[in-house]
Amino acid sequence: MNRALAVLGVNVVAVSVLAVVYGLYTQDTAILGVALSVSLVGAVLLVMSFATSEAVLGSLVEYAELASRALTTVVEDLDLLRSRLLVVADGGEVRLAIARTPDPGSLGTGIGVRYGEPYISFPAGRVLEGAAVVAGLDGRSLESALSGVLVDSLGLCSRVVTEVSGRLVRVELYGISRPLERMCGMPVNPVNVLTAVALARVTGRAVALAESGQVAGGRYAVFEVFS
Amino acid sequence: MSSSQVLRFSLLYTGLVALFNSTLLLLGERRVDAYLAVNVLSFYVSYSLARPPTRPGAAMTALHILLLTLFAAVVALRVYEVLTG
Repeated sequence: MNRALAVLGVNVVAVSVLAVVYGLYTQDTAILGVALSVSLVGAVLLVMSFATSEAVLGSLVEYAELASRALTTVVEDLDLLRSRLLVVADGGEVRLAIARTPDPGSLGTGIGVRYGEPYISFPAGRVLEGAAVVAGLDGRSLESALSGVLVDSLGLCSRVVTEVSGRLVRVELYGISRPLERMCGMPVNPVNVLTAVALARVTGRAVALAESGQVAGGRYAVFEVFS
Repeated sequence: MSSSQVLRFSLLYTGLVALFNSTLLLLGERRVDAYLAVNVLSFYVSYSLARPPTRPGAAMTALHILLLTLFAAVVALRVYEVLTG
């Protein structure tokens, strides 16, 4: 939804209704014609605010689904469906890994086998690089930092709630963007991956996705944060 | 948030409506349906030229139905007036 266009549409309709009332009161059909025409402009702008989308968004969503499906196929082929999604800070570089190994720091980049277990590991590059870093695992500041990334910057969801319990961080996401929500059924999906990367960026630590699922009106994910 | 195509459509549509409304008003046009018909034409001219990226859905369908019905009603009224003398 384009909020600026919606506000403009509502205002135009409101002003034009006043002009219609004035036109009817004065019995001036010219004013009435202009006022009705302007109210039509307001209605069009209002509808367009709901119906328009960023031109490139459709392509990106389709590409994200293809990428998720490609990764899911590799995960299935490597028998990694019961593995964990890990985000590892290795020096200055942040890497994502899908593995069963308890020592994610030792994984190289690419597809490989370590201690007899297959893994996939790839660099996060500059994804969410500018996220604000919080000191310690304080629930409120963590929630604020994650909201800044997931709600304000990415528009992934409309509300974030976090709960910290020792090394475990439970992140609840409400009002998830509809195109992304449709991909949540896949083992590797953009919502979990982006939340994990955001958490790793704001805490500056390695994180592992322990559990994820649905809550009323949204989704939750529980992450283990390594020191 | 808004794409350049949506901005272009909004500017073109509101610009055309302002231009045609002013012209009709200055010409002393007093028929309400004339203003509405020209508005609908302005919408479709702007829509064709700017091609704003729209999601297929009930909102856009309802808008098109509303505008086309309005335009058809205005034209039908004028034709009826001509035929009945």
